Amino acid sequence: MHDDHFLVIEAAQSWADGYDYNNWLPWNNSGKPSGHSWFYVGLHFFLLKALNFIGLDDPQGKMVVVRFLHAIYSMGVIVFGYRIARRLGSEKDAIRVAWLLALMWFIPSSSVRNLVEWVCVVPLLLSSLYLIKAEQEGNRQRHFILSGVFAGIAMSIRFQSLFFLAGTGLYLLYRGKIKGGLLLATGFVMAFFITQGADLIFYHRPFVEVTEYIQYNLLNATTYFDRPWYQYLLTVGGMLIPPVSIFLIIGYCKAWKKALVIILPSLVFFLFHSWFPNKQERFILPFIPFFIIAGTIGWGMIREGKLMSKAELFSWRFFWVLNTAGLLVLSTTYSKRSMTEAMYYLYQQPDFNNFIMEVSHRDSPQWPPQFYSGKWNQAFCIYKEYPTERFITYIRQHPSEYPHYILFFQEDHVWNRIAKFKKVTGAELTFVHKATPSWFDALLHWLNPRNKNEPVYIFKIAEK
Amino acid sequence: MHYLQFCAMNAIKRFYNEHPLRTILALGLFFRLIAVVFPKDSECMTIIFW
Repeated sequence: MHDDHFLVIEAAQSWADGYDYNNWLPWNNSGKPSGHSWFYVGLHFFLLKALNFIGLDDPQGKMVVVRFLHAIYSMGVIVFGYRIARRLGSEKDAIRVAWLLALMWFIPSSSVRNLVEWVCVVPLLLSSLYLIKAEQEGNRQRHFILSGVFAGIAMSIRFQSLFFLAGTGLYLLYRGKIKGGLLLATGFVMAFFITQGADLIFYHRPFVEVTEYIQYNLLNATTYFDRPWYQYLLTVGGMLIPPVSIFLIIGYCKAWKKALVIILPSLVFFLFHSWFPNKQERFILPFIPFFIIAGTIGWGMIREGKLMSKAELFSWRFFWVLNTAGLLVLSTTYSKRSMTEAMYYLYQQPDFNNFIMEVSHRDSPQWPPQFYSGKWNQAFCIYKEYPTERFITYIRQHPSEYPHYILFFQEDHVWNRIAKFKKVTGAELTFVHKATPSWFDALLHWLNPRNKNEPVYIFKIAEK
Repeated sequence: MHYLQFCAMNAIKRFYNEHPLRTILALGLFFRLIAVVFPKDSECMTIIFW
């Protein structure tokens, strides 16, 4: 099982290197679509290809470039969030929105990742901004079309953005703007068709990936998680730090008339995700900026002309203290450190040819990010279903494929596992490196054991 | 030292009063650049509670 925390860069880099690591290409998967949008991954393919071309081979160096570009791109969230708030509310509201979108504890950290749920926010905000412009500047056709174009781009990045568009459609219907809606739909279809053009190239049919994605999610609605409907209410209430999050919830309700143009699309999105059983924290991220904008405008309406009470002043101070602490922690953390560092250690070894992942105590291994090893060859994995005996049978028939390194994951009986490997294979092992998890990985593991906290012991193999 | 601090704070306040959005953008960029320096797991936000 691959770790989908590295899905985008692994697929893109493997294509840039002439491989197809995840078997997404039709000739590697019997012509069945994988259910992934190729737009965002495709952009990474071109970027990583360009980095290869200029000679930047170091995986960590490449990721600094990827994160940097995402950081610059994500500044759009602040600018467009501010502009929307300025058009729907006061300057004071807009400045408060900008503060929150710039420095909310999880936003800078989310902004530099290949997190499609956050990357789609910029075109979603632009789509709303153009719709507001269309309404405020005499229903100009160009603005409706541009609103649709950005909605199409957002959906190409994250298919669930469709629910924002559904909310926008409801809004335009409510306002009786049928012509505007048709123009917006035209822009949307054009943009989505073009950005999903890879489907035509590879499958000679349009929209096959989105169709496969919908089918997969309907069939697997409860495969990963099955959470109650109120889960995201708690997530949003907790992530935005109470009692300020309560102010924003009240404000979001209060602003329903004034900011309906952003409330209806975001609400449809929120309701869909609350209804859909598979709930993960990141899925709700596109809702957050819209919630902050509408919530701040509504809270501004409630507070208009009044002095801030002591309790409210204390609430905001409490928020900024806690938020700053979270911001400093999350922005400076190195997550999944041991897996990344283990692979990067291999990348730095001149004799690295291939490796064995040893998790013989586990039923289902979670594959480390091979992107950081710089090689795409099929590594060996020793786990319950594929014990050392099977590995040694295979390798005796193919001795040229013997890897130079073996990686033991997790502390569980690690010295027994090492001894067993030596006994069965007869190989000499020399300990060369221990890749340790970061303190943040340890903290997350403590908060929720689902998060792996596994040191990786790397040994060099000398065959007898 | 205190005088310098006082001057720096006044300059920042004045700049903020004149250009609030630019100040916020600069701060936002600053923290994003900090996040750029520290490697992250790439795609998913690590599951914190569930």
